[in-house]
Amino acid sequence: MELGRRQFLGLLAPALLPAAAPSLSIAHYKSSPAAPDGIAEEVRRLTRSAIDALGGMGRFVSKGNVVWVKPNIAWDRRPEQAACTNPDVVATLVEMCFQAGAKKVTVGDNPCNSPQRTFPRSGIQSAAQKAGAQCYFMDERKFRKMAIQGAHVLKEWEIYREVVEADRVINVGIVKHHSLTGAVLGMKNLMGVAGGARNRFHQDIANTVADLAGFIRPQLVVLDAVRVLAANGPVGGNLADVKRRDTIVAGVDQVAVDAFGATLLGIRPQDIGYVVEGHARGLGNMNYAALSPARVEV
Amino acid sequence: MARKTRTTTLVWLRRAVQTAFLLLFLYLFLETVYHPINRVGSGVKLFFQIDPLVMLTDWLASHALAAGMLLSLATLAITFLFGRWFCGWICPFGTLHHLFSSLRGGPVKARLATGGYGRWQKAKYYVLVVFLAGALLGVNVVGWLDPLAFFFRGMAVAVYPALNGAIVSLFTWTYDTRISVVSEPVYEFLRRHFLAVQQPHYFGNVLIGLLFGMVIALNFYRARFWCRYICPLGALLGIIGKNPLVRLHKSPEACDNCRLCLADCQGGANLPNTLEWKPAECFYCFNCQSDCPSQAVTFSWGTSFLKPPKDSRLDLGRRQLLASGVAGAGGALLFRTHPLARQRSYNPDLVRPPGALGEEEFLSKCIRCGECMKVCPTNGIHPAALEAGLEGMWSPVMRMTIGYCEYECTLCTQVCPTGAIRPLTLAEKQRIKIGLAYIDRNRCLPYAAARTCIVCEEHCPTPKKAIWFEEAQVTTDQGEKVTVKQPRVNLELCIGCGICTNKCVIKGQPAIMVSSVGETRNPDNGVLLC
Repeated sequence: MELGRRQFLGLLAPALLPAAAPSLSIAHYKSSPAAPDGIAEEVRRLTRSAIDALGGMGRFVSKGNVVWVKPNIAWDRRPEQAACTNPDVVATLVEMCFQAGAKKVTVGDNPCNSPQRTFPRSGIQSAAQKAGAQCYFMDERKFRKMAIQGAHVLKEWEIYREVVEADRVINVGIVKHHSLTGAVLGMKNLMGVAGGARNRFHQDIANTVADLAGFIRPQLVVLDAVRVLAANGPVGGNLADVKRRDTIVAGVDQVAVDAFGATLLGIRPQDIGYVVEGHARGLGNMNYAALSPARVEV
Repeated sequence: MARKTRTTTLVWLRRAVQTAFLLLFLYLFLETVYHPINRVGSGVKLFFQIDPLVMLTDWLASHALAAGMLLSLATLAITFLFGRWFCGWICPFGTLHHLFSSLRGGPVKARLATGGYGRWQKAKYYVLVVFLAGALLGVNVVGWLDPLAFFFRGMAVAVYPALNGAIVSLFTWTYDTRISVVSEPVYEFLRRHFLAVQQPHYFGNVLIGLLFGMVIALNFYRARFWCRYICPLGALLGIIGKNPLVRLHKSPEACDNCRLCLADCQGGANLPNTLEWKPAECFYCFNCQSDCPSQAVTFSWGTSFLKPPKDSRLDLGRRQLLASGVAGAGGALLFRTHPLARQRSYNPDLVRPPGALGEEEFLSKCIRCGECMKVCPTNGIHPAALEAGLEGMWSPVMRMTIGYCEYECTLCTQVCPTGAIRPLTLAEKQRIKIGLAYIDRNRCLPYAAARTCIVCEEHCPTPKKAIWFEEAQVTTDQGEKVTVKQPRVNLELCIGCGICTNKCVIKGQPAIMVSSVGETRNPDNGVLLC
């Protein structure tokens, strides 16, 4: 087997740096509060714990950075319906970015329902703005056709220019059911930085999602699994389909994060096409357990 | 003869009030958008609610009124007592015409020639009679020429989208230049307060825009052409207010017959070469008084309704009135026997917004104002061409290839001034079928091309999805056996929202379409057993 420089260093790193920060963390809340205040508290503490277990936001964001935070704001649904990322996860990340010295934090998504409905209804717009981030509907002028390096299918596509130009990208999705891919997790959430005829992606969803993931390569991936949508995704709407997992996953390895996220829906990572494809392309490791994830009980 | 005179305070006051109402109209227009969460700006239907023509035709045609429409009784009362102040001081469309009329300029002589009353001004009364006769027989098409509906529709469907597109294009260009340092903050401001979230596109925009431009251009032929010759609301107010308590007087002693009072007359209310004043044509703009070099023109309180002004007669002629009535009634009878209007047949493409009444009742109330079209957050509601017959021209029809009916939205039901689209709670709305989706297996990828897709199912918003799959083994052109998910529609769950059509990969004529069959509002057009 031939080893490239990166693979070699990758193999070596855990051995050389046993005390190095982990690349995956899983924070779980012991109780499962029902009151809105209790859930907000849970979400905030879990988010902080998960990031802290990775070594803190300072590992990802440096002084003066321009940061793009990409939650799932795709649907005209309330937070308890678990179709969009929990607003408190987003707000906590924004606060942590500023604490780490970020100059500017922008929160945005190219949604499936109309943005003027999804941004407020999801609670993300007001939460993000309160935390100091820019959060306004994406600007159609800023989708630019660009060459997607390393793409297998999407050789050229409209991508939001500001995301590509940002110093740091934080992808923060939610765990939910999806009839074609099995689950919407972190990598698939990146479809929200693309414009154009995204509905064509579905004809080869594993490759298109992997293409995007390989192109955007977020520095930090966070998955909201406090509430998960277990059926009728990705839109949902029926509260009976929403399950509590009381978990926030964070990591630098987007494939590993998604691989673990899938298990929260009872799906094996090898059954999610884009996870398998991402692993095969070397975007990350779907055998997340091999990364010795830091597990935090809060 | 053109001695310089000073514009009077009263004229300045009138201009200020006109400006205020025009700005209010435009502000309410911009406020006719989604506000978090699921509400519209307050008072957006105000101008339609003070429009007595809308109230009268609605009541005649449908024998029912939305409570807010009773506000227009105030307009009637003011007009009855004091005359057509509404046209001169309040009507925003009138103000727009006034604005363009004052741009005419030209020598005073030319304006004098066209300033006075002409008998073609009677045309508007016949227009009114046509509409009223039709309304009596249940056909209400007054929205075609009601000034407020005409203005709002023109703005919503033609002017605003064009303006929005122009501004976005300009700033798209500056974005890539060094000007962007200054232009981007300006753009950001416009985007938040003036521009549409997504560029609106409406079918029918060209015709509606052309007509809008034409009636504006006609101001260069005659001052306030629309108001003088066409406006059926002006005609109604003229009839109601032809014997007002505020009256113009010309002093025969002071008047040296210079006729300057005619130069800027907006309504054509003076008879050339006489001293008589036509109250039914007067907008109380006070230009005549302001322009008169000899202070011969004054307005004063009339003492009694019993002594009307000398020339308050409309002189419409019995034969002409009868002919107009017959024209209106005849048109109405033709409309009423059209198969679509009588619900003998249904146009599959005629999908109406949720809350739309049954077709016959709907048509008797809809004034084609365009409020629902403006407010729809997905740009899904368009002015109909002939989908509902000629009678339904410019009434709202859903075009799912452009927008769709947002599941969590009731905005169109909130803005309709007449209740042609009745107010709905969100829970009510989510139970209403505006049509049903059907799949074209010759176009749908998993059926026709052995490709995976599922985009329609993914977007389906009902809590239990109305699109389900049958997994099928199909053969690709390479001879490979693959399993694809072929979508099916559950007719009980489907509400016809059309997001499936909107998001379908196949453009133009999508592989999943919504037709009006199954719509709740016309039970006879149903399909399910129960």
